[in-house]
Amino acid sequence: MRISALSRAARHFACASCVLLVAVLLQFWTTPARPAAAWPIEQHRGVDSCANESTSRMATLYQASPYGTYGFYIGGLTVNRSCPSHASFHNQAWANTVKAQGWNLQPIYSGRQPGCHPNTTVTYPISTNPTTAYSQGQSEGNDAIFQAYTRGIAGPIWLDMDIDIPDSYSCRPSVDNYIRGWMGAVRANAAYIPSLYTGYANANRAATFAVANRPYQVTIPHWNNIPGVYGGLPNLNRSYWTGHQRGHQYRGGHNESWGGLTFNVDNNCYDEYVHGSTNHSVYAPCVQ
Amino acid sequence: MAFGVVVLVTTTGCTMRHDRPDDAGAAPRVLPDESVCRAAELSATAEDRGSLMSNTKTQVVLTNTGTRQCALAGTVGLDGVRSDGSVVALETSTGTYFGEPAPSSGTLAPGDAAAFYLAGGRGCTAAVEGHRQTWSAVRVRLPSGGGSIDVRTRFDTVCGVAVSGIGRPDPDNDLG
Repeated sequence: MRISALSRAARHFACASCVLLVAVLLQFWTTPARPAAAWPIEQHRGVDSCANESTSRMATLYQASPYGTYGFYIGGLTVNRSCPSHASFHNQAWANTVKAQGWNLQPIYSGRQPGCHPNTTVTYPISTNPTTAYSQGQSEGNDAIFQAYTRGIAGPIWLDMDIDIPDSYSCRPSVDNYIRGWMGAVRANAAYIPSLYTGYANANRAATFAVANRPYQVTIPHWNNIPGVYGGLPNLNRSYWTGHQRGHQYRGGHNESWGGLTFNVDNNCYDEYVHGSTNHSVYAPCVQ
Repeated sequence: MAFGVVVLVTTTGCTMRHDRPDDAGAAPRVLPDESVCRAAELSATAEDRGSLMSNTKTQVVLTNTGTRQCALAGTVGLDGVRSDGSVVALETSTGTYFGEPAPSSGTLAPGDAAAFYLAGGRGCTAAVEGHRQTWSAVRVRLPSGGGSIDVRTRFDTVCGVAVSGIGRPDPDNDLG
């Protein structure tokens, strides 16, 4: 049966409309532009710790282990309470030295935390007023930028929102607003990439924030020893953060021995931006 | 830096004891060092020190409430005490995500305090699924046969528990 010119045109119009519709839908979840050449995307494993590791121990860990990225804390109210000397110990000189050794870095900031979780005592709670909480987030986001800058670090900074708040909890609106404020402040500075470390509930909600206040990438704790950013994170919506924007903390604090030394670390699998070293090496890729 | 466990093994040295037929083949008794701090001369308090990257920290502070200087160093053991009084031995690992307390002299004068860390977590699958494991009290078994002391804390052991060595308490640098 011959196809009329009119129906052919109609099919072409319908096809073009489909393309347009898809393009419009993609705008709802798009990857903001970043200078990709400036920040290496690392598909590999790393560790984080709150111990004050000397640069000599860091050198041993780098040479003897398969890890390429090291997470450490740059500041925040919770860091000052949990690891009192950590942030000051990890100054610019320390950062420059370990980067010269080959390390990529995961700078982490941990400030106020949710105060409505029934099983947790919080010394520095996020305000229960959502407007105030947003301001607190902005203030601490700006502090995170400052702490990173004084260490000569640009690129991604992680907010450690350690306490995961289910949707039904009373302080959820404030917690979400704090995260919005923090991410918005960091995103407003083009030199930094707002990154979030948090549990599934917080992360799945943060994925729906307006782009200006949304984390660019997330790292999720789930100590299941499955070092994958999709298969290892079964409760993170698979349609969120799909463009090399995920990390997975797959094992919690434990001792590991490398080069004759013992380190107590978490294990992480990164498929996201990290702060690159000057002497970059590629390590084992993270299982997807 | 972790302290090595200070253990002094004392045998009776009494020949009568070793000549008694019912002691034949028995191992020498290990008596606690008289200089170590006893539970009765200590008070214990637990401070929630927050959490980082899903690792939780509680600092247990041991204060000498007695009248003599005593030795307190090494690593403690832990039991969980249920509300009905039953006791469950807790499997602990040594070394924590938060490192070790600042080193102390290993002795406590009356009124002085020492501390160790309890490290747990909220990232294991059980915790992610909403499960918890808390106790009416945590029983701290002191090193070197010093006895045990209970401390009330909401510390959650669902993801396991690690302990540090004993050292100086963290400074109270809360900014308020």
